[in-house]
Amino acid sequence: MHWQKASGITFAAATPFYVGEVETGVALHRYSAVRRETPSFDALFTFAGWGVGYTAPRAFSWYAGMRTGIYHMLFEEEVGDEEEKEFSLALVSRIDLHLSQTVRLFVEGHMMRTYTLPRLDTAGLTGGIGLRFRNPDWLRAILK
Amino acid sequence: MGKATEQGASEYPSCPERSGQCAQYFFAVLCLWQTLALALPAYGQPDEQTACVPDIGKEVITREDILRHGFSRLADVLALSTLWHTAGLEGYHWQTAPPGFPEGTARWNLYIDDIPVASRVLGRNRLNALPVSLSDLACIEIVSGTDMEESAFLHAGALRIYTQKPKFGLSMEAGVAVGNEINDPGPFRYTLPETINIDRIGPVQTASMSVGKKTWQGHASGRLDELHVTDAALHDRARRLYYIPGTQTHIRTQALGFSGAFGPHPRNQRILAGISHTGDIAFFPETGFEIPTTHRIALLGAAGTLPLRGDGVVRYAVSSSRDALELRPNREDTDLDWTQRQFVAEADAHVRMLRIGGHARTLRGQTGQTSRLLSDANLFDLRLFGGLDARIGQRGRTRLVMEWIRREGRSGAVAYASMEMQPGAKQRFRLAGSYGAAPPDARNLWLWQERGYRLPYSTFRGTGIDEKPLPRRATVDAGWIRQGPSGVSGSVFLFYRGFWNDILPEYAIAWDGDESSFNTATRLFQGAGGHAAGISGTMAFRLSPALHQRISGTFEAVRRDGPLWLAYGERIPRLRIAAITTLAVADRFNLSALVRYASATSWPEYREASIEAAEVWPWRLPERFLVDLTASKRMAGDHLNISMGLRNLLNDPVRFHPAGAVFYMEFHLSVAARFTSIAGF
Repeated sequence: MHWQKASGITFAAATPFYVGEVETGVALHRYSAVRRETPSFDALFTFAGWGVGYTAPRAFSWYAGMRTGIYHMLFEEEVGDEEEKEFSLALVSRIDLHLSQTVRLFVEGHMMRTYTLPRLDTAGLTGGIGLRFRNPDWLRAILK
Repeated sequence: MGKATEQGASEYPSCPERSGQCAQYFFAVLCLWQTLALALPAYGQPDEQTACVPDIGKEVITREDILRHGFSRLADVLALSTLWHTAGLEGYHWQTAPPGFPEGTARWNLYIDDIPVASRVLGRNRLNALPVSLSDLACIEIVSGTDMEESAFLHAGALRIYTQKPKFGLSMEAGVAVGNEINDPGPFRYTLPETINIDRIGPVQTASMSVGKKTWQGHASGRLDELHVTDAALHDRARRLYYIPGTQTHIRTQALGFSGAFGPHPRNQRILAGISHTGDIAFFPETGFEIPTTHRIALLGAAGTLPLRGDGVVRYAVSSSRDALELRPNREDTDLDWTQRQFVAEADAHVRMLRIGGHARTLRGQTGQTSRLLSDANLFDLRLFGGLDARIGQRGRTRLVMEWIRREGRSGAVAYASMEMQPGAKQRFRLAGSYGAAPPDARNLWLWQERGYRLPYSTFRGTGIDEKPLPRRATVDAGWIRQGPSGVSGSVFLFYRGFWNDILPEYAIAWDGDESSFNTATRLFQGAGGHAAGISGTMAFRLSPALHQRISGTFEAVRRDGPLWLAYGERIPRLRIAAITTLAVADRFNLSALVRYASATSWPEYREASIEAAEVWPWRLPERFLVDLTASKRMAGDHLNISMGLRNLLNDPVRFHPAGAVFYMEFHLSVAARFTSIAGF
């Protein structure tokens, strides 16, 4: 292990899309170097994803999907060699607890591969709150 | 046009009556031709709208194909062809040649909206530097066989680019395409500290505005396109001269183009104008490494049709272009110092069954501020032709044309013949051929070097080719096509190309480890000959209303008359297959898979260099199997198109040229927005 994944934040927006739902978002991840020869870095994952959900009885639902995007790494290093972008794929699984029609709490796990050489494999656990609302008309018009 | 005259065959003496026993075979053929031509004088249809329609030996890449696969550069589209073979070094300038023509022998022609445009400068393909964007296109026709439909007869193939006709009203479009190739070192810098960290693809940014009215249309577009060299070995070689502080090795094109049309369809008069500026890195086999250069293009042209008295028609096309290869900052201030001005005029006329026309091209090369260093700075190419079109019954037609060629003070001639039968509404058969001897078409580097142009770092000096025998060529094409609005469509295309007394460069390439580049000795080989033949097939069908498939493949074999010809033939993947599967998941949402296979190639001239460079540059390239997946979605009432895809999904390291880069899996994303308004129109 070269890095310890520290705290991060994710923001995503999802909408029904034919079968399942499509999402887009950004996630900020922070990595602290465990070894001296590797740099610490922050990474911004800009992604699009698709997945399908299954609503369990009562208030629970389960979602499984994948995300793809660009992992933008910003190193705490010398000027001129301080950033890198690489393609990433992630598998996502999420359990939602619906508190109401609008609000839900969720726990989400992901396994992500960033296609550097060698590959950068990470895993993470995210907890958060989700809001559900009807798409505004302008957004519905765009998506159609 | 297309008006049949009622005359029976019996009004004409039969062949045996006129020739006695018709014992001699050639006379029998002549009689047959005469019978066909005179007895059934219903004439060809020069105004047939055949653009963007697949034909025998003609592949068509449509705008829908381009959007569906997320292509962003003009030359990238050649990946969809199995007839033409391509090879590239850095992934930007793809060298290409029609089937049966090993690269270096083909002088294929390029047309934009039927306007002839120089396809090469000093032998280098310049498709991506042209002031036309992929987003402007309606289709690209890749013509492989003998092309007798258009105003110039061609037996070496042609690329015909047709721009999109602007919609009625005012339209604006903007798009951006970006990508990323995998295998960066990322944060693992300790593993490959020397690896370059730029691996982005593009961006390719385009913007355009169109105005369409009933009797005229105008379209203006701009493009900003970048390619960064991501391969470490190629990066090192290019860095021998490349030095622009603060930048990684890159190619950058800025282009502005304008096209317009007026007149009632289909006899539109069309104009084309554009300028482009490319900060380039030009690799020549003769130099063995990349020379940074600034390539400026200025282009102006027009084409159209004019009615003649009766049902005749005249087609014309003129163009003028200037290509300048100038200094791009580099470590040794090396300057290609080359300017090429080309003026082309083509015209042909159809009056009943008669067809006459000509093609004139002047090409002026200039090095430095004067052309006096060149023994002959002007190339003048004049081709005049005349022929006959005739129908064979109600379902066939035939055409016979003789062409006289005057080039560099010498004359040659080529004969063309074709016959086409249409037994049903959906099917056609065609047989076509050409044979002739003509002076070499001097649109390549080494023939300019013969005239005194000195390519930096090249040891090749010309010796003159004035008294050498004329190269001779023979072509035979045969094919069948079945097309229909539904069901299975397909085509088969067989081709033969014969060459005698051709002129080819012969390279001896060594590796210079100190400079991380190749050292090349070049000489021209006169008298090269050979034979190439092949078969190509395409089939398109639907397994279900939502699932469309197209499979095409070409097998090509080269039989040599000498080792040099064999070497050229080995560079071509003999078997090339492409399969496209498109799944319409839902309305305006498509998933597309492009699967390509190309057999292994050998490049014997790089053998010694490959051994010396410890196989960093392998002279044998293994077979390649590439899978691309693309998802495309049109949104907001077709105003927005998004496509996202993975190319080389299997991440099989692939190389297209022994001196070229290795490519890995790539991620691509393109977004295009389009707005149209008819307010005020």
